[in-house]
Amino acid sequence: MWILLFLGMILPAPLLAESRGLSEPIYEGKVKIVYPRVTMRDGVELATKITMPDAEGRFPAVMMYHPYRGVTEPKPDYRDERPMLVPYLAERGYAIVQYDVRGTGNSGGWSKDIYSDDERRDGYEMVEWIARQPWSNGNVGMTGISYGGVVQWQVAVQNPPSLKTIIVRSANDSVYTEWTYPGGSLRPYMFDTYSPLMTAYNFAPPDPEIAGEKWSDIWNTRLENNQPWGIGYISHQQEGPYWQDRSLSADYTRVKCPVFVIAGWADVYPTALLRAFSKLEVKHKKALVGPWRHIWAENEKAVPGPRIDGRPIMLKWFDYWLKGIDNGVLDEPPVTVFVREYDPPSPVMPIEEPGFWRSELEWPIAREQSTKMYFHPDGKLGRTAPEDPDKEGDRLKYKPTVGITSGIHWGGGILPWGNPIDQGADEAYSLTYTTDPLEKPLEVSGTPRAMLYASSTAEVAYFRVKLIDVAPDGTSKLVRYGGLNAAHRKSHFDPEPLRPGEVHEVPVEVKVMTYVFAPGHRVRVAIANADIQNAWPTALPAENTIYRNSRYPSHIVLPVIPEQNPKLPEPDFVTLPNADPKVALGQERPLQYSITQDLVAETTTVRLGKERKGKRGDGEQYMKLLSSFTVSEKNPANAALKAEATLSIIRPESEVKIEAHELTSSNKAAFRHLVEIEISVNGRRHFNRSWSVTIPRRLN
Amino acid sequence: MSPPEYRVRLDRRVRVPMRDGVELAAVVVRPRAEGRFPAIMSYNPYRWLRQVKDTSSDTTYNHRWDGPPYFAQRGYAVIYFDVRGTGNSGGTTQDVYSDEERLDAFDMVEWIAAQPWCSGNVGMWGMSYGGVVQWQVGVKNPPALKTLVIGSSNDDVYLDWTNPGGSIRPYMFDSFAPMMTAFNMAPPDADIVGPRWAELWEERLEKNVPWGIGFISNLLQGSYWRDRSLQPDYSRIRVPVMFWCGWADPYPTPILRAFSKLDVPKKILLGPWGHYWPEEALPGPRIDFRHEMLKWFDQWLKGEDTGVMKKPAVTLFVRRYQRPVAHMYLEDAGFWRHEDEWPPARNLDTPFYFRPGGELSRRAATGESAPDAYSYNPAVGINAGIYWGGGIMPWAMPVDQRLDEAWLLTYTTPPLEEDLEVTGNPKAVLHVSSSADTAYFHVKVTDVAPDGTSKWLTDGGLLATHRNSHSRPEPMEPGKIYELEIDLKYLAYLFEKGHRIRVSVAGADFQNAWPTAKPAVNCVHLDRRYPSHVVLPVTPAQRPRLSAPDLKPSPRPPAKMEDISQSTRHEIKHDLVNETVTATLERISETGPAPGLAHSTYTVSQSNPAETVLKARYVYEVPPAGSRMTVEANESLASDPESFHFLSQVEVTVDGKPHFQKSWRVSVPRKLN
Repeated sequence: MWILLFLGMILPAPLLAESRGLSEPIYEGKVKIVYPRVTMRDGVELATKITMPDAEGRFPAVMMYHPYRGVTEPKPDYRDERPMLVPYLAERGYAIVQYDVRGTGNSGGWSKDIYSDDERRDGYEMVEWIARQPWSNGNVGMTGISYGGVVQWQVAVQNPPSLKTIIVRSANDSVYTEWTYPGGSLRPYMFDTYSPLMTAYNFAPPDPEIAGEKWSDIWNTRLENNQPWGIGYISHQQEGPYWQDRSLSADYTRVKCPVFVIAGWADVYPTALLRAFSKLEVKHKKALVGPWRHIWAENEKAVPGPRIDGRPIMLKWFDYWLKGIDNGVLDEPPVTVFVREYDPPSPVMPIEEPGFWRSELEWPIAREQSTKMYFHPDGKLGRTAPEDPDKEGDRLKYKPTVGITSGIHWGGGILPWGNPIDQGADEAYSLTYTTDPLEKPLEVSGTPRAMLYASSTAEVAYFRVKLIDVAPDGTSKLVRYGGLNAAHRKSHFDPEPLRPGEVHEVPVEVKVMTYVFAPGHRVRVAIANADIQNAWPTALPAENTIYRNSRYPSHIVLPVIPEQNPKLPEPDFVTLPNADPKVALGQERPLQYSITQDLVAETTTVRLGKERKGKRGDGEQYMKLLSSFTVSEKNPANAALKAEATLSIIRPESEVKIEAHELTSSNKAAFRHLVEIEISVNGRRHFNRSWSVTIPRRLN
Repeated sequence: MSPPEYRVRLDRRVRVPMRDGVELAAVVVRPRAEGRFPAIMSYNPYRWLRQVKDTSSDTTYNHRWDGPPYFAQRGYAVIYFDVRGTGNSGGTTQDVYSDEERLDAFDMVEWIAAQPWCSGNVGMWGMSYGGVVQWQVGVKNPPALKTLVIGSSNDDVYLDWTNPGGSIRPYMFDSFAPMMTAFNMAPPDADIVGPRWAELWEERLEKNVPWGIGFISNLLQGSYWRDRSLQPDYSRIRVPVMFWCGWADPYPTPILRAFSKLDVPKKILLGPWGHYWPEEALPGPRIDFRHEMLKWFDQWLKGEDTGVMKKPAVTLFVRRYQRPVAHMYLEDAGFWRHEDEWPPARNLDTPFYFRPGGELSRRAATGESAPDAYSYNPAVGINAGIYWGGGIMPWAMPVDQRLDEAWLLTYTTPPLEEDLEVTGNPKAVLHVSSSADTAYFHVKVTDVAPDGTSKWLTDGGLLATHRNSHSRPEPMEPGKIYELEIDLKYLAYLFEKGHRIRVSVAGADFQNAWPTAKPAVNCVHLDRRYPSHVVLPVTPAQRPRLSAPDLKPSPRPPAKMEDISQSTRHEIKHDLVNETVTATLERISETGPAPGLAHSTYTVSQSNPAETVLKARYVYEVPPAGSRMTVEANESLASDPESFHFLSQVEVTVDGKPHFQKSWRVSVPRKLN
């Protein structure tokens, strides 16, 4: 009820967004697609695909790139080009330049590492190449999602003179902490999905129709020189230059152009993007966070809803910065977020999530009241600090298979599945601290931070902190979480062992959130020492203790948000109908997502599987990924992740099949990563190669 | 006691004609000497005759094969025979414990007594099938039958074996039925039976019927099961009985129940064991039970006063906490004690009441409060194990119960201030209501250690539609509150100081009870008007203390981890896409009492509990090795909202080529389960 009242307030007129002068689709039906190859400083040619008005004139450009074989043959109707933003912007007088990372797709050269030095330099060169084209008005923007978002930071920090703005959708500002090693723990997703997928992609041939006669030379160069990216991940287990060179977080002041960040709560990077938003020192910045998964908001598969059309929102920004149209975009409140509410947990993302939109003038929200909630004996969570000097603490035996209800952060390889389910089964093996039922709604919007005073019998232990909404019926819904390998408590660069028995301060940051805990619900914090689906288990058996006494008052700081006063105008989005479940869920149904308890071997295995079929020119492309991750209850050092990716590229004249088998495993002493790749053409063996690396374990 | 004074003679080719001309195959192991000896008879359908030995080994003693020569040396004739239609016997079998089979046993007792080498006194021994049949023979009182030694068996086939609490036990279909289908379609041993083997086999292939059809066709208590069960008229047994069983076995409850109900000279030994003879059992301690049996048989078949009846009638092992693991322990924790009776007369049956907030208390609620509610989750029971290990014993023991408890209602006492022994017959009294007309209520008692581990101790379940009768189910009226009395399995357990007693309630125990069909929200009422509780038999210290039991250790060495097969599979898979949970079992055993490969998958649906599917396969390589005859049974049991569907397919191959194929299919209505 209070929400309805809240939304019903009359808004002060001067704050209403002006919306004059969005570019009209004057080039509708007059859009062309061209494929120039652009030569880089070292002679390597990058394949581009430019979708632009088929007309005389000089146009602003929007550049996008990634290694996902995006330079594809044109669709019979340009309106079917994806992402949907591409034809939309082209009709409105933009040239959209998409290109393939060197060593991938239809580009020349090779790729040995994700976000390689050469690749980043290419980004700069491409911006300036675009600005020099006769059809360019000299203003270049960038956009892109995920990889295509991270690379925008990498280009922007080089400040190519023609780069005027970026719209970063779903990307991290810190590759190590947000993607490969959150909290200092290896993320299984890197090896169950991403690494085998990219191995298969990066050893696939270019399309002859796009790359031309040279396609087989390009492929041979690639087969000879490319290297599976997983080798880079496993070889850099601590933060350091490898990751810093790729990350904005090393120095936010390097970005000088205006920035618009767009994220989704069900997506991988709202934390990274809102942090970037708050840390960037550029004068003009904007943030939008909806409820969505890792996909553009207007996409027909965008769940959870509400779905909106993100294109006019982005157009308005580009119109201002690339066309110089004074459309009032800077007068709008810079921050718009979807505030989430309780919805019963389900392993698949909901079609629509309850909640409401709200604009804010800044992030973090200035009226935030940092509220400490302390852990107490008997599992209580409350605002008063413990006065008791009780030395005992709460003990927790490290169980490496905890996390069976956690789901996979953002769904990983099986989204939109992988959502957390009822937390009960994991809570049985966690320490939990729960408030009394709330008398009033409690909005928590911002970044909760837990401070654990913890000791361990081992020199390494992982601490997962889960923030949970307990419904009156006892359902336990995971709202947000964070984790930290406590050996990284001071630094991800230089881990330090825990001193067994000694009490350490272990600060665990929880992912950024907006959420209203409803009256009658309870707030729970659960602490576990593993999260099998999201963090590689630490090697050493341990018993850990969380202290909650007057000297060591473990707690969580919640960013509690009072009502907005005065109220800002509600954003005026073009809302779209909710995604059709047959499309958003039916077509996306994983081949497998299961968790198996082997009672004889005392192991738990997570199995994932996904396939994707798509037209590609006059052929088709088929990708299948299968993985199993097995963790031993008895010996947590021994974990093994097996993954296989199969990519078939079927053309009228040939079928190329690329199979990548990867095994990533650990024992007490080391991580080992094996890759075998086998390529056949029309059923005959064409190429095979294998790699093996062993990296000593260092406090993880 | 009889000394080992005789050499042994073994006749493996004995054939005994029955009243209808069917010949049963028997093996007779007896002293190689003139004279008349008392006899011990045992039988089952498990194709054992070729394995019986003529010399007994100590270090590998297995009572099935080593018992006959051990007793023959001591002046007994031991006779094993195969049930008609099975093993090396003639005839056919369509049902477990058929009418003809039970008549045969009477005839066999009298045939044995009439043999020139027999003194006229016949006893029986056996466990499991070989125990149940003793009641079936015993109630017919053949004049020559003088005593029974019954281990590990039930006195009520429906309640303790096929349909505990009125629910289908998955074990019957994942393990027992397919194994018996494969066994019962296999040929007799040509080298033992001689040239007639092929003719006997042909008849069997033509007329034998998978026993699973009888199980699925008799889902309610009735004459089919009553004819096979001792309960309820125990007065039909008139000979002395020696009982033994183990706490990790399927049948300590019916064994103790029969012991306490029979009005004959009797004695009972309750160890920590699983479904084994005590010499070879897991969990240990193993004992020399042949020594105990010899004292008994010398007393009742040879008429010697061995003093066996002068000792207290009850010898039992009282268990205590040990961290639960998925296989039977090598050695259980606990101690032996004598009692004069079961349950101990000094017991104080003590109610422990469910209280709001998950408390379990000796004091009943005085006020009024809302009931505790839970949504029926048909996949509860993932860590409850399979009672006694079923088809993959010694695996499938219950492990830490906390994972399941997340979906259960739990009631827990504060830490105990002193040790508390519970030895006797516990029960639960629940006041429940359901939103559906059918619901199952499962009650579990666990011991919560100071580190939080929750160890399974006993349980019981009841299909609430069977609350008044297992013969005539009645629907529940949604929302109406019913009082259910649920018998829990008997136990002898010492809760240690600092531990807590926990009782939990669930709507399913899927590895042990086929899930009910209807989604439901169930309520457990726990206020003044509806004081749901359990009654635990609290056992005070014994005064005066009886002498300590003087059991001899087993001739076999204690169990080692190598004795526990590591190639067994027991997996529980949560399919988060399809919202199902699947239990997979697999066991391969080349020798032993049940050779073959058994594999099954059993899938319950969390979104639609009516849809449950069990698929099982049993592959039996007919001995001797190299005969190249294989019998494979593939069976499935599936349910939908209205019916159960059972399918059995048999394929026999000889030298890899198909020799015989047949299938059976039957559908039966669900009848409020």
